Amino acid sequence: MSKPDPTPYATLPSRAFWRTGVAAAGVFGLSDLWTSPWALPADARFATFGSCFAQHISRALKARRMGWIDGEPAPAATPPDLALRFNYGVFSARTANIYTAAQLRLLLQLVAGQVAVDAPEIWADPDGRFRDSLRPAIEPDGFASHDEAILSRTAMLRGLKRAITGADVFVFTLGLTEGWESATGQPYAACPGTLGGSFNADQHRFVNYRAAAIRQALDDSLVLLRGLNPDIHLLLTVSPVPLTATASGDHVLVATTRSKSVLRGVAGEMAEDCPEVDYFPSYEIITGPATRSAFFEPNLRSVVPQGVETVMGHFFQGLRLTAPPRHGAEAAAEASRDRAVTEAMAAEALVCEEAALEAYNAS
Amino acid sequence: MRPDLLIVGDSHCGALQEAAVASGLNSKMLFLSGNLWHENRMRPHPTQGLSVPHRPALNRRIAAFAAEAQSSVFPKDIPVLASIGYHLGRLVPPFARHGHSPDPTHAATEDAALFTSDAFLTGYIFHHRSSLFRLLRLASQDARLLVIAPPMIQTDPVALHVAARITRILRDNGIAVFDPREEPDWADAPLPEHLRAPDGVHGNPAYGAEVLSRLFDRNLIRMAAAAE
Repeated sequence: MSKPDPTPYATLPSRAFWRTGVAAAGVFGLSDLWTSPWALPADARFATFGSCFAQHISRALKARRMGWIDGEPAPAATPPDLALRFNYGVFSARTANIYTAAQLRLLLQLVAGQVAVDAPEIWADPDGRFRDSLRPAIEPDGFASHDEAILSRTAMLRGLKRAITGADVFVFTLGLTEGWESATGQPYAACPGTLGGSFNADQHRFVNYRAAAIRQALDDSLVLLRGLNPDIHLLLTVSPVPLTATASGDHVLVATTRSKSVLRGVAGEMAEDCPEVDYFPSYEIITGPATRSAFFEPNLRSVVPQGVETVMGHFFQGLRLTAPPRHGAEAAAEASRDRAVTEAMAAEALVCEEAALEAYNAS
Repeated sequence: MRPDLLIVGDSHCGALQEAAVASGLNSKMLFLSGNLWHENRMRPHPTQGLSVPHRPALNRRIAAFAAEAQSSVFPKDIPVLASIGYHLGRLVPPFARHGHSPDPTHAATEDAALFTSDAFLTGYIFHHRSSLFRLLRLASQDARLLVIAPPMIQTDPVALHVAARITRILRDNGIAVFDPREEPDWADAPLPEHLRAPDGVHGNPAYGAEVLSRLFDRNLIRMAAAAE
């Protein structure tokens, strides 16, 4: 009788076993959680969008001076507090939080021209101000007019397009399965009446997107992304931040688990199915048992800075920036435009000095 | 002899000063570069009218001007024309560097434009000009101050919009402004060629004379006050 083959488990590395991979390693000993399947250019550019946790990814990339792309930056010389108040520099365009895959698809349809820019609702507030239903809190006090809101949305879509066409990786953080839609199916960023607009039970409906619908929205989004930039990669993450509230009727803990599980499952399957899509496990790093919830603030919702640092440490460790750089020409063109502005301002300053001195001379 | 008129501000003072002197007025000019005004650090000063923290050489220059004029930069009894608060050459190029435009028509028609809301633009302007607005507001309470907005020689829609917004802010703060772009014959078009300086940025002395003439015609400068 021949000797039986060793089981597949016999040759697995320590990371494949819970005891060695997690329990003994501890939260700061976790390793090899993620390795990018793509060899990205050394100067790879990343566009970051999604739910609020995606902001941390933007910030970390900026802090490391990695290629975080900003398609709709604040005007130069904007002070940081003003930029933040108007949500510049938070994501790679002023989309505000994109919580659901349905929202992402709508935004990309708008960029691609499949949906008219003025089709999604603009909400009129009782105080006479106006809010964009796609991003009701993008301006602290709303917009002065309907037209101003549409123009700002147009700018955002231009910025989103710039971010997509300039990026190597589109990082999208999935946040929620729960959302709100109009009677005609337009997804909202928030329930009308919470951040703007007013709630009408006949016109607004609650949706708890199921896995198939989310997958469809992400598949559609990938097609739209690749239509704008055939070389772009989609890196999915799931926000570890629990729901603030649920309208599902379930307990918020149960609803959170449902939401995150569905998102995690869809993201994982999409990464398995599509070579241009991958999943990065920020959700697992923050919520896994190894942390014993230590990466949450006392409200058990917000993620502490050390948790973010840990997540981003794994992210940077797993990146493979091994392909030759490809954005040198763009960077040089940017620098050249900056130089041209500086030189033009200096030349005008000289002209101004001369004009005034001439007047002294005449006096 | 005390001056009849004070002209204070950036390089746009030049055309006004040349015109004032040519017309026989005893006009004194305090020119500080647009860069200095753009620093947004000017403060009211109880005797000399304005000062700049930690800039001793500049403060000596302001003090020398006040001594020569025998008054504050913003006296109660001498009319003051001020080209202060705009300094568009320092403000607009950075604002527009990435394609931003606060002008609705421009933003709607220019494919690459990134529209900025009026609320944002206002915040941006205040960040860069708040000390100047405060200076002018306080000076307006006592002095016979009239701000002269710069002539628009170019037709850059961003510069036009920003300038108009600053004019509105100044007036909202109780500061009197003469804005050449509101003149019926100078609106909606670049300043006529014969009123432009060769540098392509400023009005020439003929422009300065035209402005002074309009101010006198409308009694916006009360010269008699100097003798009171």
